[in-house]
Amino acid sequence: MSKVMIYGEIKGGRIKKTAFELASEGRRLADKLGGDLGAVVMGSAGEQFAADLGRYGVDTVYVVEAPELETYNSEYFAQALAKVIIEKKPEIVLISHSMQGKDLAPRTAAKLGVATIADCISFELDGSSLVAKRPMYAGKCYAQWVALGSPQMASARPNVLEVVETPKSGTVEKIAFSADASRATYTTKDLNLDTSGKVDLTEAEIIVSGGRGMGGPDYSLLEEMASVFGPTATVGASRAAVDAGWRTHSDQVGQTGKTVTPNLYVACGISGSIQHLAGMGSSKVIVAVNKDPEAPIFTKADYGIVGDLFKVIPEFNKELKALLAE
Amino acid sequence: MRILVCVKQLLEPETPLCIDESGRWVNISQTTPRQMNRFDEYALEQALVIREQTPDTTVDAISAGPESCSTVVRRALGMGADHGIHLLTGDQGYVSPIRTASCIALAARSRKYDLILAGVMSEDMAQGLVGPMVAEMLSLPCATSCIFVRVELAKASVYVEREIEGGRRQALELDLPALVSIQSGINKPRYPSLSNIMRANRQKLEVISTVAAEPSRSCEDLLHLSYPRKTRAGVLLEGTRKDKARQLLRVFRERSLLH
Repeated sequence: MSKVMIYGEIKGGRIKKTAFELASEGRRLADKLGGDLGAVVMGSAGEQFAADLGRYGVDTVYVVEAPELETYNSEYFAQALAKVIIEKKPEIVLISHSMQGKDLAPRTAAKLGVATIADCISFELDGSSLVAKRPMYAGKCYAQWVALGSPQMASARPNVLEVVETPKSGTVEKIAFSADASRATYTTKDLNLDTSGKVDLTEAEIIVSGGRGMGGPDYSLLEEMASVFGPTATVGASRAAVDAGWRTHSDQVGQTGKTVTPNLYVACGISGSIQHLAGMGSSKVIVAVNKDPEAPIFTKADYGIVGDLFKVIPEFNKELKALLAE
Repeated sequence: MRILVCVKQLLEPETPLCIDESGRWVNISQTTPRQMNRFDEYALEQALVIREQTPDTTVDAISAGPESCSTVVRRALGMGADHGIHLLTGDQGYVSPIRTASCIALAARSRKYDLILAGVMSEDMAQGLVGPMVAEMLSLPCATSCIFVRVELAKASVYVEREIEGGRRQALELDLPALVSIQSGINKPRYPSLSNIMRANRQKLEVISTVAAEPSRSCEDLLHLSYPRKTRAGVLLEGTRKDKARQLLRVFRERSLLH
């Protein structure tokens, strides 16, 4: 019996890093509660990741296999996850707030008739109650929530929880499951449509972002910086730049765009409205370049450069290339 | 076809926020400016576009909230919705998404909608829970975060494309009835028209008290609110441009940001 259970997301035949983030956090909580940590993985690809999950503190890996679980489907995955939860009775269930988790968590919670607290950035225990912290009102305040009822479900913002190795057995336990096909669901027509080949904002390790200060649709300076940083870097934009038609909507970082948590966020010519900060405030390191020394972005940045970005960035790109060429 | 759009009223995002004395909610006065959740505007616009393309289509707008919420339903009528439903909740404070979802599901069940649209999330709470929960409660298929929607009337289905990681999209087909949550960027919401505003002012909203209808479900409790602490060092780099570039690169190196 696992006191804490995490959902390990598999994508493209690989387990996502968020699974290890959840496992590490789940281990910490399970130790405090004095119980085991379980992980649920779906599909025939799941079993091979048991050892990986074990390395991050998972005692038991529940593998659910069924033809319906080979490709993500909100209804069948929620059925399977709910089944494992009902069978194993964990006190706490953690899911990643990824595109899949955003879809899966509410559906599973509604099946179980319990609440789920979305997009949390940290967890604590108060006795056996899970206290989950999350930003609200575009990050203008933080709220601590406790889920009543059992299990206590929450989803965690990706790339925020720390990954810690705590070797455990990662023993595989297969869970028998046959999907209830009488429930309506969708048909997947195409899994990976429209591949732009660009690194996605939500998965990029480095984001170079431009705002109103770019003055127009020419982002070549930022594209150049991103390409020098390497294949894990990409270019983002503020809402002002998207509204002006300089960048496409899929590039938008902020409350009405994407929430990103890269290791490095470079904000160029972005004043730092509350709605932008909501989308990038959890980045590990934030650098701001702006010619207005009063721009609010400087109060949210780790490092600031006051100056004309069209002069600052070329100089930086030059130095960056020189350094990486060494 | 019959379409329902879920709309939420929220405080104008630019409004400064003040945590109240209990530390468990924010001060909200009657005069605090409010507006429709932007994601719901996209959902409503999408419904109106579908209505333009599909004969015999009606669009209902539904919102759950206190008295003040009626203005957001009227706003939806002003944009062009045919009928407005206000699920009147008792309190001004936080309402759990699972409770909101139960109320909407209860109201929607008897009305036999073919398609329910909702914003992907609300701008204030940003949890994105109500839409998929309503779908589950009504046993409907659900697609979240959609940036393309096309109703295929002949097949009684809806084709959608949803955003996923990796800059990619998934294409899904859902048999109607279904629930679809809408991501921003799908369309440009229209402004309310004068004739619709005049109609909205005359039209009666359907008000349903939800106090009795709220099922007893386990929910969540807000323990404490706090302002964000200023955690960033906020160091302004000095020197020539070259100096600044080199300082930054030194930091990046120390923090293993360069590969």
